Amino acid sequence: MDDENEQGGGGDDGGGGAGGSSGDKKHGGHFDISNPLKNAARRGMPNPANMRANNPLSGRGGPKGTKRSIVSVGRVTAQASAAAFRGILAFFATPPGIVTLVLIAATIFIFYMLFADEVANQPPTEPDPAVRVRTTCPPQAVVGQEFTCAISATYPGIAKDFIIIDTYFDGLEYVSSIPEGKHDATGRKVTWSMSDAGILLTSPLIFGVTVTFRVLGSAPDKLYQKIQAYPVEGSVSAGAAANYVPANRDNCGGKANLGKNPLGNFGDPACDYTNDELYTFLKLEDPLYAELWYLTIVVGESSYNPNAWAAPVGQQASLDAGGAWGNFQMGSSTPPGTAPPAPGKNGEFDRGDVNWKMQAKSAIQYNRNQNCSFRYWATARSKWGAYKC
Amino acid sequence: MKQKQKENIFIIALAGLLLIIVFWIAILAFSAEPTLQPEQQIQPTITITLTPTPTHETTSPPVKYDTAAQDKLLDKFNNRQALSSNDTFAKAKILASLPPGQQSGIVYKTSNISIEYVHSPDLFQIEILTTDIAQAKAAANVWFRAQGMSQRGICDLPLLFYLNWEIANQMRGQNIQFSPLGNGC
Repeated sequence: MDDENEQGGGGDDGGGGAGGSSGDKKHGGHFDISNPLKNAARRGMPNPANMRANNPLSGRGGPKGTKRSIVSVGRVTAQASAAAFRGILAFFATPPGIVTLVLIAATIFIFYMLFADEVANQPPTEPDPAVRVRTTCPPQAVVGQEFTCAISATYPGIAKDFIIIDTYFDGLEYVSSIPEGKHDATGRKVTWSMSDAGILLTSPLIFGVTVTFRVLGSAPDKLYQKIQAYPVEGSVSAGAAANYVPANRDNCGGKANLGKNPLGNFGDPACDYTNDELYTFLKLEDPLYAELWYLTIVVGESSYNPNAWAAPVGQQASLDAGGAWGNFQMGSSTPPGTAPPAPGKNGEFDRGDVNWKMQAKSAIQYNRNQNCSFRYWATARSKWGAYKC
Repeated sequence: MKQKQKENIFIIALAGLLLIIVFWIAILAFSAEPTLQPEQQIQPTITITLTPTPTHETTSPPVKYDTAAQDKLLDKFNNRQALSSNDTFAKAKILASLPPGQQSGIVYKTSNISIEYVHSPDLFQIEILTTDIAQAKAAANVWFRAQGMSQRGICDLPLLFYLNWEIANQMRGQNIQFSPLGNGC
């Protein structure tokens, strides 16, 4: 035996539990990794190539029993595989095999060092694909610095609750958030619930929070590169909106101007509408165009009456058979007053037959879907196409 | 023996080649990642998907508003002129008439007009409750003057006139163009 064979045999001895056998020793330790069948032949195993003549599946005759031949082929294949496996093991016991093993291990280690951190910080999969989460953070932050991220999440439908879970990086210290979320320091998580925050659940659901962190000294060097890939997820609770209030008859002590609308007090069922509240809400929901909405559109479309209804007569009949509804004179579900997200004539956001906050949100989203052109509202004719989202 | 050495060299070379390929892939992967520059402001990725709702419909308001007047009102609102001390005092006197604890509310009401101060936009809104628009505007003007406001101060407050919803619907189809500005503003 030459040196390599001895080492190979010794390797098999040492690693007998891992697949070595006395048979390996007996027939030598040299293996051709590229040809396991050759190795098998060296061990005195039948070569399937040589058995072809006896294999009925090869079409060259052979034993009479087909079943027996299939078993033989299977046995030979298994034996050849085992021999190949033993050959590979024996190879890794030789100096070149050990070098190769070290190189493979080094490669795996390098890969681990390069990518393990990134893999560990992958954002969790969103539980509901319809939930869209957007984070805006500063491009970088240094040790000791506080930085604030804005997180906004949207859901096109309606739900019992809307939850944002922010799992922040190791090396950050939670400072505060608006609205104040539930902080789990151990799990490095901040959780916000829209219903806990007392925010009206409307359709579409739009939830925005800000969260401030401080960068600790133990933060990884590349932390600033990851802030943009902030791991945040959003989820919704199934079911109809908990805070959705269907239209009532006049339940606000005569405050509401119901006119002749067939739904009653659909625009202010909670009796909380005032012009002051409307402007504040518009500033919150669409700050860039709040003045245009308030001073130009609502005033001309509905005279600040969330219960305004233009009956489907005359020109209005050609526009929408259900009439025009609310502060923004939009469409209605069929029948009117159905809980969102029932669509209006032009889709989910063409809904004016809802409470005044939903009216405003629907109008804003409807306009955004039209690239902020304001082309739906005749009162904004002078501004048509002047703005873009 | 020589044959074995050749095989060993071949295997080591193969392993080395594998390692080079691995490094090459790693370098490619990292070079594809955008490098952050200190001054570089990264644009946040917008993940909100918007579904355009194609429609060419427009609303059909009962009364057409004067767009030039509307734009002028917007301009007055966004670029407010400072009130004189007399007008500031007069405004404070009007607001003092609000019920205690209220920042917004009706400060004057007749059968023809209802004058409301709205705190968040800091705006006086006059709802016209009659089809006689000119008379209603004049009545509002008289009242503000009676509170000590100058004519210029009335325009600079600013004031916003609008038609009551029922009144506006009574005037539907009459081809009326309504200005939300006060007389002389």
